Parts: sequence; structure tokens; C-alpha cells
Amino acid sequence: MSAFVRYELLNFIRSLKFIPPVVIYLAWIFILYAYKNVPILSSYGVSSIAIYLVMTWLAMAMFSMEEESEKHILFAHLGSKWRYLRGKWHTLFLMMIPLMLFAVFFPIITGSFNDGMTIEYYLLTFFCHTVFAIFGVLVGTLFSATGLAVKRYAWLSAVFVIVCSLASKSLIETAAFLKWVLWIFPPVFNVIEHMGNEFIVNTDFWINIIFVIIYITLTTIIVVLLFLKKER
Amino acid sequence: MIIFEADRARKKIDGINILHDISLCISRGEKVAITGHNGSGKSSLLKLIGGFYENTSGQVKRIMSKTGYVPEHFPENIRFKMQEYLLLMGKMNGKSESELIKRIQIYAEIFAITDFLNTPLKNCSKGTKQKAGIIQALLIDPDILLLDEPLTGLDEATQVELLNELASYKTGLTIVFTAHETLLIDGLADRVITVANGRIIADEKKEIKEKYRCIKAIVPNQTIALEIPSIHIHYLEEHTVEITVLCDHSDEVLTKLLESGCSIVELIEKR
Repeated sequence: MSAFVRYELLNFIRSLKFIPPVVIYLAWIFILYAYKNVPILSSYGVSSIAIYLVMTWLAMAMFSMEEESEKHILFAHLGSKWRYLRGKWHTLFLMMIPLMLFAVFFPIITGSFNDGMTIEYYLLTFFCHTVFAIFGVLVGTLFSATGLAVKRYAWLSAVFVIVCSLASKSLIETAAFLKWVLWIFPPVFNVIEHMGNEFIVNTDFWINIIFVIIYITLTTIIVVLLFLKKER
Repeated sequence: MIIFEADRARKKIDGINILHDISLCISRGEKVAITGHNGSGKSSLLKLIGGFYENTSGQVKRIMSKTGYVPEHFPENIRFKMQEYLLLMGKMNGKSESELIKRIQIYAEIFAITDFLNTPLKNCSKGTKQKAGIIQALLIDPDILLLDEPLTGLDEATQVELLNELASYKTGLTIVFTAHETLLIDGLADRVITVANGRIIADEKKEIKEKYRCIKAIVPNQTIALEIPSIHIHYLEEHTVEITVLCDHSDEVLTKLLESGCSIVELIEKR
């Protein structure tokens, strides 16, 4: 598997397709911390949203990198289509690590926060960035590696899902019935609402965390099944 | 031992049936050629055998662990140098770097691409890329080797090299290939499957033809050729004759011709 991850990583880096999303991400972080004395958790909440968008972009670029014949050669070497998907995801998470570390440590190094970091803040921050990166990878995979990857509408559909998930709270406040529809979109607010000025661990927090983990597990299973269905 | 079995298998892509009622058994060690016109479903059948395509209906059983696959056209957008690419592909199968380097060197010599090992694949010619495609498949040490029109883009000398390489491969290796060229079918296949409109219309074991040799010679006069034991004699010019003889008799015929003052111009072995 490590050889495949290396293959994907080198192939992707040499394609230079990573430059636009990574540049936008870095610019976002620089602008976010252009002012000093900013609140810790809400700033990290914003950088989590950035990682969500960027990981979707990177996943879509990575899954659309290979033509059919290259994919079939890789299937033959890896021995299974599932290993191919896993390898792609491993590569994406490897790419996510420096992005996340940059988002977490840049403001600390530049002394941008109005308060000191605590262990709880670190845990919540890493959790939040990882969850948002997973959401991004899942959305990107869904619209580039499954039957939903209709070329003309793939990017539009991915953007629609991201916008709906980010706007879900406002949409539900406007029209309450939408809560029965919007639960299918990544539950970003279940995480981000805990990234306020104060970090409170209560029952609501744990319910949201459990819901997010269940959501990720189920979505991962669905995406794997849809990928295998497309590659039948 | 049967390694692939299909019973009335069907494959549908985007609502269109591309393979219909495929019933087929392939045994270990068989060398199977799939022929047919363009668009007949040869490549799709190859992909069904390899598991890249799953059957939409019917039944398919595959008992093979390692599959080597050579596509008709080597991918265009691979951003590696040839050796780097082959090393990475070989490592995906858990092979060590030192072993791979040795094997890549051997294959590179066979296919005459040693000078291109450090060339980016993007800058290689179509034929060189095709050779890289064949080497990556051989590096798997496959139980079954699937070749989709493997001679596409190869020069004549390399076609013969590839044929010899495949023919000399271990007996347990199953080879399934699609081809238009008679060179590969005649030289390698022991079974020929013909496909038309996504259906198998013929599946024949190829009879092993007796080897014979064609001798082209310049003779002083036409009466000499009459005394030669042969299958067929054909005068190309007044003093140039083409004599077809069984392989076992060729040495004897050559001796006779030389003793009679004839000059040998060409000797070709055929089946």
C-alpha cells in the first residue's frame, strides 16, 4: 500500500493540481490571522471550514487524475478496487496533515490569540479539523469517484452540498421543515457550534460528537459501496 | 484446473449491453486469443475475465490471485521516469527494490529500451510506452496475463521479441490476449475465441500445424527442382524457385540443392 500512496502522492504533486487549493487555503489562514488578539476556538472553526473546502477540492482533483487504462493497471497491481480507494484516501489524509498543522500552529507561533492554549483546546481543534477534512474527502469522493460523478455537474454538485451544509442552520431558521431534509448534508454545525468563545463539555456536546461519528461511518460505507458499484 | 468460468454472463454499461450470454471456461496454462472486428467486445471480454468489469447478470467465477494487465494504449499522463514507474509498480506487489532493478534491466534489454529507463514516460514514443506497459504486467509474476492488442505500436523486431518472450514463459502462465495480427495468434494461441456484437460466435482449439520451410534458391536449370522431394514448387523467375518442404526434410533438400550447384537465397520457417 505504501508504494501506491507514494505513486499517488508523486503523481499528484507533479501534476501541480494541488497549487490552486493550497494557495487559497494558505491565503485564507494568513488573512484570518492578519489581526492579533483573535478568539481561539472561533478562529479554529473558520480554519476548519477552509480545510473542508480545500479537502473537497483536493479529493476531486485526485480522483479525476487517472484515465481508465491507468486505473485498470493499478487495480491489477493492487489486487482489488477497495485497496485502490483506501490508497487514495490514505494519500489525501497525508496531504491533510501539513495543512492542519499549519492551521493549528501558525496562529500560535505568530501569537495571534487573545488567550493561551490548553490541552482541551488542542484536542477539540484537532478533532474539528480532522472531522471537516473527512467531510471534504467524502464529498469529493462522492462527486468524483462514484456514479454521481457526472462530469458536467460534478463540481457544481459538490459546491451545492458544501453550501447547503454550511448554510443549514440559517436555512432551518428560515424554514423549519428543512431540518427533515438537511440532515443528509455533512453535519458541520454539530461540531462548529462547540467552537464558540467558551468550551463547554455537556451532554449536548457528546450527543453531537456521537452523531458526527455515526454520520461519518455511515457515509463512508455508502461512498465505498457507490464506488464499488461504479467500478463493477 | 479452471481459473475462469462464465455462465451466460452479461455486461451492461450505461444501459447498453456490451456483452451477451458469455459462457466460457479458461484453464490454467491456456493461451487464448480473442479476435473480432473493432467494437465487437474483445476488450470488454478481456476486462470481464480480469475482473475490471463485473457481470451485470449470469455467473462468473475467478480463481486467480495475480493478474497482469496491458491496456491497448498506455496511459498518457503518467508523470514518472520509466524506471521509477516500473519500480513503484513492482513494489505494489511487495517485491524488493534490488530484485526489481535486476528484472527491469533484463526486460529493458529484451525490449531494447535500456536507453529510455531514465526518460520521463511522457517524452517516450508510443512504442516505448507500450513496452513499459508490457514490462509492468510481467513484473507482477501473474497467474494470468491479459493483453489488449499488445502489438499496437511495436516495431516488427519487438513484435517478434515479445512473441518469443511470451512463448518461452513458464507453462503454468495463462495468457489471454486480443489481437488482429496473425503473428501473435499463429505464434502463441492454442485457442481462438471470435467475438461479434458482444457475443462469442466461435471458440476453437487451434490445431497444431506441422512446421515447414520455404527455401528460395537460384537454380542453373529447371530440371534440378523436379528431382527435389517437396510439398510445393513455385518458380518466381526463370531461375529463381521457391520450394516448400517439411521441416524434417529441409537439411536433406538444402544439401541436394547445394550439391547440384544451386545458390540458396532465403530460408523461412512457417506453420
